[in-house]
Amino acid sequence: MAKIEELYNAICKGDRKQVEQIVNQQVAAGAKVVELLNDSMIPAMRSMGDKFSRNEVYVPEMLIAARAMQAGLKIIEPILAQTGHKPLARVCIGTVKGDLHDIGKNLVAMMLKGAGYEVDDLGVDCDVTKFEAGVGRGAQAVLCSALLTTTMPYMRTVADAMKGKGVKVIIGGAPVTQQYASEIGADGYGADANEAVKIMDAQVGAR
Amino acid sequence: MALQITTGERSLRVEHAAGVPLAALLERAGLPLNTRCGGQGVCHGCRVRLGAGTYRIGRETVTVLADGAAREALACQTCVLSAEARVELPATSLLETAGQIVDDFVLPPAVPDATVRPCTVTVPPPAAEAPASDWERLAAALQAALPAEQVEIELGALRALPAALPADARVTATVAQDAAVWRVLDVAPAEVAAPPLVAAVDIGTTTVVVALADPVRGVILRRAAQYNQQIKKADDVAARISYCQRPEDLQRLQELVVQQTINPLLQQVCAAAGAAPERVVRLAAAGNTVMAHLFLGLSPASIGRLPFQAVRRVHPAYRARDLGLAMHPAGLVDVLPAIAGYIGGDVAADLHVAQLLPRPELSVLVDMGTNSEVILSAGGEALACATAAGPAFEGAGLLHGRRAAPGAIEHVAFGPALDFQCTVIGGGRPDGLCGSAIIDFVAEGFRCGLINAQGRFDVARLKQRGCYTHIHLKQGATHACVLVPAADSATGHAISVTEWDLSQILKAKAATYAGLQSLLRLQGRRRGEIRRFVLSGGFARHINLRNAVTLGLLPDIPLDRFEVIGNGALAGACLALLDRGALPAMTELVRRPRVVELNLTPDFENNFIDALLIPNLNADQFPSVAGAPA
Repeated sequence: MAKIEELYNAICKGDRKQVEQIVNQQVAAGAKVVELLNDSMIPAMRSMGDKFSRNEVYVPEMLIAARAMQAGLKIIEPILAQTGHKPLARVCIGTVKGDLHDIGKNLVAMMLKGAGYEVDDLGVDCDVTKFEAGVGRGAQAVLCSALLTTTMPYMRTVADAMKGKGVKVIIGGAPVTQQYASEIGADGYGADANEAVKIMDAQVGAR
Repeated sequence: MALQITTGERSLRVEHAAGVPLAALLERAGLPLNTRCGGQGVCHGCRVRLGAGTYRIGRETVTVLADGAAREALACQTCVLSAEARVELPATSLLETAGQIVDDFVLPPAVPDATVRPCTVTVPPPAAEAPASDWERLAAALQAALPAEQVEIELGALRALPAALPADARVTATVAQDAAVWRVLDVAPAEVAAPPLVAAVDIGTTTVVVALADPVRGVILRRAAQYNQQIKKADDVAARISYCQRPEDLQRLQELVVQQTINPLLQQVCAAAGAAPERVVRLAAAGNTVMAHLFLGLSPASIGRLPFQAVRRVHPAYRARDLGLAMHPAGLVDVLPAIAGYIGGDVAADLHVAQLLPRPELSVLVDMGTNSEVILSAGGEALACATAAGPAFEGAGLLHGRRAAPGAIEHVAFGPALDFQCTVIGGGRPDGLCGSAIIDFVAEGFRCGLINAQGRFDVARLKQRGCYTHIHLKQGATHACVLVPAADSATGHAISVTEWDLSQILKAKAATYAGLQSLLRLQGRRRGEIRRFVLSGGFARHINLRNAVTLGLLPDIPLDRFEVIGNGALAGACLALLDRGALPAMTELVRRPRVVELNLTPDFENNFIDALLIPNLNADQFPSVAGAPA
């Protein structure tokens, strides 16, 4: 199936209702959801991510687009599951213990889904047990977010707990730096949501 | 090694050592720059122009030739490598020290019943039949005069007592109420005693205001404001918490707010009133919980992680000498009680001043600042939340953003022809624009189709009208609208608004509106039911309400339901000093609001994303805003 311009544009514009309408129409008309995903939806989100990296698109538009993508995914996910579709990889993501800030984390989660990953969102205030449970459910990478230096030190606890488990630890959030990531032995650091996707691609993804 | 620095008319030479960031060098030379991001190279507040010399900018080594073009760089990211170098500082990069006083407020008329008063009594000589010490006789006289059950005296005042007590003397004791006890802070013969003074302080994250008051007459004598010098180290509340992880950094922030911010203001207002600072015997401070902690030198770390608890919410009276304040050393220092970790004494003050909680009708209070707090109240029940708007409304983080100070554009009006009409604070040529102007700009731009709902410019129109420019930010290039051409500005550069600026404003307004929307939904109420909408905070006083509604910052309700109270935090701090009932009333009311953690409110993120459009993705919430997307 070729790219459906309308769907691609609706995601880029962040028109949630239009995305739902087109996806529903396509599903009803018997379109293959894998092709909807791979040929229109993922390319739209990837292109938004690249524009975001080039500063052509800012956080407000990214959030709106990601939510529209999410609305489309919600419709096709159950169908994908039935067809045995394989995601690029399975990852789990959470804001670390003591921290409730989740808009940044949610954007990363939506971007990863939009890029073709299966995302196990652990929510906020996640202790090691929650991250371990995510790994137990098959996550190949653990992504940790923190907004404050008061909560950031918990990332080291998570990184230590993941040692020897064969999973990648990627960290991000306002106070986090590459230097800190290296210091605590994390496998990667994402300065923004799109970089998080690129790092996942490099670490576990197929691209 | 010497560095030649020029700024405006001034020129000076500064010795320097290789490898020290230019920003630190300039701060030591008495020219602190606007390093509000904490020297992270993020805020672009410390731009300088590098003349002849060799420099390291980030990781790059750059040489500017004597006849070459000057190179722009961020002082916090630049070190001078050559023995001789020339650096030019634009006025816009200097950390301003003279803030506009944005604190007009009205104190409710009240019979003065201050927490501090001079009490003149006649102290009888010691009687042979009933011997009593000097203090016992003064205490008995004060107990009868005040009246009071418990009186106590400071050691310093006790030392002055014998000299103040010749036989059958009339003495004036300066007394201050401290819970159930009245404390004698000073004592002097009645004819020479200087009347006491009190000081109210609003410790804002960005701006600090001091008001000097006469407790006897219950009037404000002088006011002064300046920027909270902590902004040199970190911009917002979260960044301040992050900054002071080490004890020495916490101490540094305490010194910045007390010694470099409040003390100079106290000295300034006292000098203007012709009074010695030691006459200030009581000070009341209102600020958000983190500012209150930093003022007291308490670690705010526990406010920065679950469950966001303060070290202490309700404070006893502290002593001036323990805090290093420039006032009477034994003077009492009140810190207004906080509602929660992110909802502080400034909001308690707002609520007390606006008398929001006792009203039966649905009322809202929004304290707009770097952190916006929203309180929803009806019939004695109240919900409170805090939402991180960021510093954009106060001008920070925008390319040509300025705080509301002389030289800043305060209001902008224009139509489809982009005929910009700017009002400048203090008149003259503008050097930037403050939050109220950017709100006008976005609202007017949206109305005439220059700016779309996503916060993007109609670039063709900008070009057609000769207002287009593009600006290279660290992150990349951005379209921009030239509001004031270079020839008409005070900086010699055009004053522009970029699409990046618009995105910052959208995030700030969305956070505030989504906070309100989430509280309304939690209570199952609609915006139309809001009968009274109180706006407080220095920034809120200057905004055009209609434009703030068009932007989608404020809800679309009849404009006559809005009430702007000005600086409620300062008003509350004044009342805490001038009205003995105020502090107990605030201490009672901080227990009332139920605090809602927005990040745990399922609707919040959706409300936030909806509010990222102008005026809102749900345009039906803004029926009065024309041109809203269908």
